[in-house]
Amino acid sequence: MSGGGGGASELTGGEGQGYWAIVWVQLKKDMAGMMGLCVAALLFFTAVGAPLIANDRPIVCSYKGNISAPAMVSYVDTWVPWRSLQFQLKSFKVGDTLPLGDHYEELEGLTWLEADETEAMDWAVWPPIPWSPNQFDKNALKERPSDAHWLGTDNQGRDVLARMVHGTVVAMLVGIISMSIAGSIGITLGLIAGYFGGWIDIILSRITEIVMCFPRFFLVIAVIAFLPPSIVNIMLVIGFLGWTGIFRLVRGETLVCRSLDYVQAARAMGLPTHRILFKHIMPNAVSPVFVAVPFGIAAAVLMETSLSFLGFGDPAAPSWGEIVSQGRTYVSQGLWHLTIFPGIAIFVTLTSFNLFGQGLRDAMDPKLRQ
Amino acid sequence: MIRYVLKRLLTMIPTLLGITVITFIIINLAPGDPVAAQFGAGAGGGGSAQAEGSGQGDQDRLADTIKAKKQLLGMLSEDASAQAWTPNTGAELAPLTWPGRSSELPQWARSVAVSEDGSKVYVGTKDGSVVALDASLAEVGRWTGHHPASVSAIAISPSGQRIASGDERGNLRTWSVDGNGPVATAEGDGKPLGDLFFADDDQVVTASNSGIIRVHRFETGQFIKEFAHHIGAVYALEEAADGRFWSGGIDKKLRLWSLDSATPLQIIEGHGQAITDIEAAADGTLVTGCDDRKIRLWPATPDGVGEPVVFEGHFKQVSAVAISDDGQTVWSGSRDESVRQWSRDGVQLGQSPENPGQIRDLAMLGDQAIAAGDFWRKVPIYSQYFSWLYRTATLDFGRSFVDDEPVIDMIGRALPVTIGLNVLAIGIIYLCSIPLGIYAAVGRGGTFDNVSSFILFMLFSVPNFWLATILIMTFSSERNLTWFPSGGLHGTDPWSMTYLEWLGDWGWHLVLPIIVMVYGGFASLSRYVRTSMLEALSQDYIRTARAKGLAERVVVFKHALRNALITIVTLVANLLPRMIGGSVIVEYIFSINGMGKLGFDAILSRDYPLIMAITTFSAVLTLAGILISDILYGVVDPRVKVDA
Repeated sequence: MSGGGGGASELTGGEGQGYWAIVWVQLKKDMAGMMGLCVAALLFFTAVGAPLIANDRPIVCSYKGNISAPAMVSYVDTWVPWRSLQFQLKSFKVGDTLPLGDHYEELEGLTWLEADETEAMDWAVWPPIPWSPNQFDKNALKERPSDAHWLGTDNQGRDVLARMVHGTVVAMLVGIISMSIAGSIGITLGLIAGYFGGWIDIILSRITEIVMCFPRFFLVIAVIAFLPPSIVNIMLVIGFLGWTGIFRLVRGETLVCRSLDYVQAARAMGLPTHRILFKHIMPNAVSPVFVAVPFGIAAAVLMETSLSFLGFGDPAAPSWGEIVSQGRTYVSQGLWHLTIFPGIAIFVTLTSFNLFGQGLRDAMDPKLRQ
Repeated sequence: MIRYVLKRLLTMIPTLLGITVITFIIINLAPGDPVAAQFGAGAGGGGSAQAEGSGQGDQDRLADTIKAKKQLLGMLSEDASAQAWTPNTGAELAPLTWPGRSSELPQWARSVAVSEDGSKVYVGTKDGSVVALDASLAEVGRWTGHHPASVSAIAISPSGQRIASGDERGNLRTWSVDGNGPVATAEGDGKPLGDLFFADDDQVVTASNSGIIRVHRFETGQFIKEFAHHIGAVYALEEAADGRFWSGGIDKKLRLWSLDSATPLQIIEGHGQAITDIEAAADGTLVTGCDDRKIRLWPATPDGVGEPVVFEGHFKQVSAVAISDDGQTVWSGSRDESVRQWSRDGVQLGQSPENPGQIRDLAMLGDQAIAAGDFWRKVPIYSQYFSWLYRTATLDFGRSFVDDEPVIDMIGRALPVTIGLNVLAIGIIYLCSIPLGIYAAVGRGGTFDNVSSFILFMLFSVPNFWLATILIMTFSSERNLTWFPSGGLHGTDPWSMTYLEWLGDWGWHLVLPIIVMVYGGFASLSRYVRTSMLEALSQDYIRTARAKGLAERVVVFKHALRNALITIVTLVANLLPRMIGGSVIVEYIFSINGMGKLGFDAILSRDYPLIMAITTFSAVLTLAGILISDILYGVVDPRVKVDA
């Protein structure tokens, strides 16, 4: 449920009898909001295509007469959790092609880049950034931006641009998934509290108040510090602590909807409660949530980058915050590129989601409609 | 109004309880030993052996800290007593039965000795007392106040009339069974006495962690002979026949000595780690406990001992062993908090049914094993919670594991710093945002409105840690400008400054942190001000005021602003929860010793008492903020009274 994607499907689907169509028309008039949406979409596609944008393997190549797509290995390594399936996928081949696999045996101890200069490689289509995020370039430690490394390298000789491209994956994953978790919890509890009222409402509202009382960032660090460092844990923790705002929104809307005639009618017809809740009330009660989603994603991205800045990130996954923190560590050596570039990436992400959220809010507000 | 405040206070009570419940649950679920990070290898993982050479003292300190965590969380209560374990004969590998505890000792029992006829048991305790028990483990007498440290070793003379005890600072005391005080005292070198025994009724042999074995006179306490061959601490001694004795310690070698010769008669290797205890049966069979988690039984041969039988089963260092007089049954106690019984050939016959605590010493009383150790009792979860609640209510958060300082003192030092910073920051935010918002609202849609809202919106999206890093890079780096200090709140020598200098120095240090703290707040607050001003300006009474011909200044500042301020004032409460959470990054980057940095460091070093206290404190502060804002709302908006 990305801000952009979720909104878009609703808009074109026409489910809301024109409501989303109106919102879309309004949003299109808002230049800033549309820009935010476009940049957010661009970031999303960067995340999806990260292994094809920054990789130390060619996208497609012909090696000793066999055609292969080595960059796809990165997708298999990242997204397939089971080793046996990974192996099967990597050894899969179509007709006169090489299987995906590593092929470092066939490459005679060369990297793909070195192999490209030998005669064995007929042709190769390279990603625009020929570096992997965790690839060490021993000859270029802490290098300033150069021809080989457009945005320089970090203290271990890893390409900053490649890490930033792959950092998009982490940012988008954390933003979208933790917001989905927070959204599901907030919407469900909010519907229940608002619809049933009474004791259930009192208890749920108390719980929300308690969760809101804890300084969220401190609590997140505390929990993350006790768990093994992994991006999944970060997503879960941010999601499970971030539902309170959505809960309040949905609860308020549900309280209003509950007393409306169509809900009374549904109840009088004897419809089951879950049907009334999710079929009749939810579509009308969740619209303020859509405004909260882009802001929530921005907040989650900020929290994830802050966490990795403080050193609580996943060491295996490149994150923007981690690169900025390196820049801080080497501040006396003047490695400004480590601070500036990933910071701009965070800034652009936050700005685009906030702009889109603001545009959506204005578009959904009937008072501001032109 | 008062009714409203009271009602609000009442609804706070369940929330407060909820806050304590959540803190309690989080810390209870937090895995791992608290100080694992600090002590490195071997701290938390049950299996890993301690690094070679790490002294008994470190291990004890580690164990004490783990217990301290459990005690802090109310998981355990101290249960000072010696315990007797009887074998459950008949059933194979049946659990040991646990017949009873002694009367409550002054504190944990650290060492135990049983007289040869089995009629008396003497126990040395952690607070330096020596307690006499009868055969049924009922207390019959005690000597307190003579040892300045915990009694780590105790022995009874062959005649059963004389006792010697040694403590963790190396002091030796000798006692007569019927006496009121010590017969003789010998002051030690500060290193713990590991073990001691009576060579005869007049000679006491002691082993010290300084690596020297000494023979003392019972009557005077003076030492008359020294045996120095061990490299490092000696932990265990055991008498052998013909005036000979065994010793073992950290250098992993078992030595056989004669009282007459200054060099060992025999040196036996074969232990993987430090030897912690040696016991012998009547036939000369030797049992040793070792830090490599194994027990070794060395059968007697005419010229010493034969090849050892190795018993494996304990998952932490074996700290005490005992063997029955006939040499058929072996008992062992370990840091894994279990007492185990073994047959002579290494088959485990039984194991204590629950974890009583870390075993320090074992002695045989008939077929029972008497264990001295740090015994604890598990506490049911509800009483854990209530004791935590009580301690929280009385602001007793315990002592920090890292600094060993009362947590409340540390918070007392850090909280003013954070509150000071935040009050300053919030003040600046309000001072700048209100005029910005008013000006933007009055000139709605104008250039100022558009430009300022654009700039503020951009600022809102700047991550604070990034801006902080850039500011440090630019303004306090040798490579660029060194206008501002990069961290801390004061220069190197704040004591020698006059008050004005001190204030100037403070302000100079504050520039960068305050910039980082305020810029994000401008955007949201000035936006709120703008919105509520716009709403106020569109009301009928504003039109009336304008129609009356009032000056625009009066209309805006007197009529509109007053009403717009209602919502703005209450926003203070929204800023409060961000105080501690938001302080973490700013205080971390600028090394300011406030709550945020305190909490961050506490999390890194797993300082549970501090984490619990800070979490609770900040949650309660936030709740107080919400309450204040509600009350403020009631004050500025008279309609609330009607609602209540």
